[in-house]
Amino acid sequence: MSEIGNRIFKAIADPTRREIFHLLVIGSALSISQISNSFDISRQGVTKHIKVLEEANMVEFKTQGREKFIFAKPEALKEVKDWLAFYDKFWDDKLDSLGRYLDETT
Amino acid sequence: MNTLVKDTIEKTQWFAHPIDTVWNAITETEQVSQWLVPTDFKAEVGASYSLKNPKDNCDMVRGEVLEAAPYTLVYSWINETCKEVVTLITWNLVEENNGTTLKMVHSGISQYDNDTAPDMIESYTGGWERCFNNLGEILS
Repeated sequence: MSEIGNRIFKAIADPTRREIFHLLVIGSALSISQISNSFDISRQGVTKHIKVLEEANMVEFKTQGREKFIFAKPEALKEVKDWLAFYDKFWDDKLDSLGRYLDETT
Repeated sequence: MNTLVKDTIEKTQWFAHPIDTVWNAITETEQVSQWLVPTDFKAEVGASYSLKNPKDNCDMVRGEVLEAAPYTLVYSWINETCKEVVTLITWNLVEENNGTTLKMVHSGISQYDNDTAPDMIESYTGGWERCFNNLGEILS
């Protein structure tokens, strides 16, 4: 999980990749050309981004007819959710602790 | 940024205490050590700090103060076992309703340097689970 986890963090670090991923999740599978047109970036640029997402196991290719389409695998984001869940609870606890500290010492 | 891949934690809390009292509690070494974790934290821009594991005295979290002017405090927060993920903690205080509203944001999975991150990530063999376990241990 560690390798994949880090690849996911790397993948979502880039705003364009976030947007591409978002589009794939809320919409449907898209081809490289369709993504290229939507984002006004070269096919080469899109291919690079998709490769990073694929390495993070966030997307997969499926061939339909003659064309290859990219599908999102949103379940990959569990890693990020775990990270958030950990710190979400951590800061809740710490802010409670800060509140108690303030009430007791002042 | 879209909400699907949200990577930010935001907390807002109101305290029935004057703004300077709350400010001191989140910036002064002795006080931060009381409610957060024992630390050498100093609220001076450029100062580095660490949170230590009381068991073996190893650094667990490291960071540097990036902004420290009333009433905004910003510092980086790096788990020692996951050095490639640099996150940011931002504290902001506002006087409100005879007390102080504190807003804290923990953000920044997106702070990667795109050129160097891949190499670091490739060579990385630890994992978030390990970070969580270690951190949970000392911070609980």
